[in-house]
Amino acid sequence: MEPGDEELMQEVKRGDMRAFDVLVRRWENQLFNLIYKIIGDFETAEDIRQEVFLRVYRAASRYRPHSQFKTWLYRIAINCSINELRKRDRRRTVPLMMSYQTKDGRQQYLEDILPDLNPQPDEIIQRDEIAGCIQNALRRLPDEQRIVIVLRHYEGLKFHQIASVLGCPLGTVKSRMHHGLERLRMMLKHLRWEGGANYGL
Amino acid sequence: MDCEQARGLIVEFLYNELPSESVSEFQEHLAECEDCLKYKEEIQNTLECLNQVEELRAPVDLAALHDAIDRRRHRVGKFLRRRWPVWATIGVCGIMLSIFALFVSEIRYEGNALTITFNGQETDSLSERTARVLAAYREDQLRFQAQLSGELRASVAALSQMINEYESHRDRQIAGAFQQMQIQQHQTLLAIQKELEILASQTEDEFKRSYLTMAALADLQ
Repeated sequence: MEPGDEELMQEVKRGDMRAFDVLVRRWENQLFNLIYKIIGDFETAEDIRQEVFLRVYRAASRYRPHSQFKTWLYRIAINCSINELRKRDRRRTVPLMMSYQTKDGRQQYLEDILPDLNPQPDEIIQRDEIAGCIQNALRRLPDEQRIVIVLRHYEGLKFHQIASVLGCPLGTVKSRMHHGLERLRMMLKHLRWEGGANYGL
Repeated sequence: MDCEQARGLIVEFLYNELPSESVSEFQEHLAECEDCLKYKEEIQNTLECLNQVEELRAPVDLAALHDAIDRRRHRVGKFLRRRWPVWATIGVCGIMLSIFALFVSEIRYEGNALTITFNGQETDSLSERTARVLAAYREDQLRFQAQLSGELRASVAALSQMINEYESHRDRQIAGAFQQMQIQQHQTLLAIQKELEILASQTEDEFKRSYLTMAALADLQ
């Protein structure tokens, strides 16, 4: 039977590089996909993943087996990703996440009314283009909503685990998820693709 | 349960995280409310949509990662290497201070004098050295003053002799108009003698004052 992550971390703590390599191989793709969905840029995601593994190695001596390895790893990954997003925010000059209140009381995000790369409602797109459209829609969500959706939907973390990773109240996590999905619903409702079900609503 | 409450629970319901006691209440509401049912289906479809994203494969370059770990481990060493001139200077100063400390047995600061004792042998304090310089200066001045006042007094004596000679021979050798000139010359010589005497005594006074100033300075030191 293969050793668990916590056992491997005990080996890493003793300076065993092979145990560290096993951990890296076990988590490399999952970690990459998590960061890539949050950051949206392949090369930056690779750099951040490298930074995460470096931090894991350096923090091994402080790792306490009572916390689940996955939660601990994701906390590091999310912190590194948030740092990158903040750096980008500082570089960005026009706030694309600006919103205003519409007549019927809805929150309208400026970015949603700008011309986008998504196909028009009557356009049928190729199956391999869908991923791009969804990635694009995810990218346009506010960071905190995107992070919660990625952790819940793609990484399968329970809401209370997400609250622990992000260090915020459970209610905040659920509300971010709800608002994020609501925005995605608006952005993706016209999406139809060849040979697949019609998700146009 | 109203529509707003039901919509707030949709996400938890779809991810099977809704507590069982709320599930039946939620489902009852959906059975009655067509709008909420439709909304739930839309959210469900959105989640279905999200599933279309394929997971990517991006293996880690283990060699590069190991290198990065080594680089970071040696960052402290690198920091020291990059700033070697600073560390070298600090090191040399430290060694010199240690050697100095080996030979010094006592450092004392009393009043205004800093005294350093090298293995029991006391070195001159600053005020002692100043006093020695001042003493040498005073000696030079005394010598100069003695020489100058001696010469001045010799001139005064020579003049007195000349005046006496004029006085004793005045009646016999010079008469008439010359007598007046003699008297004037006599007076001029007397004035010069007086001035010279004043100068001699003033020089002495001046020197005395300068000794006092020097002495006061030495005391201050």
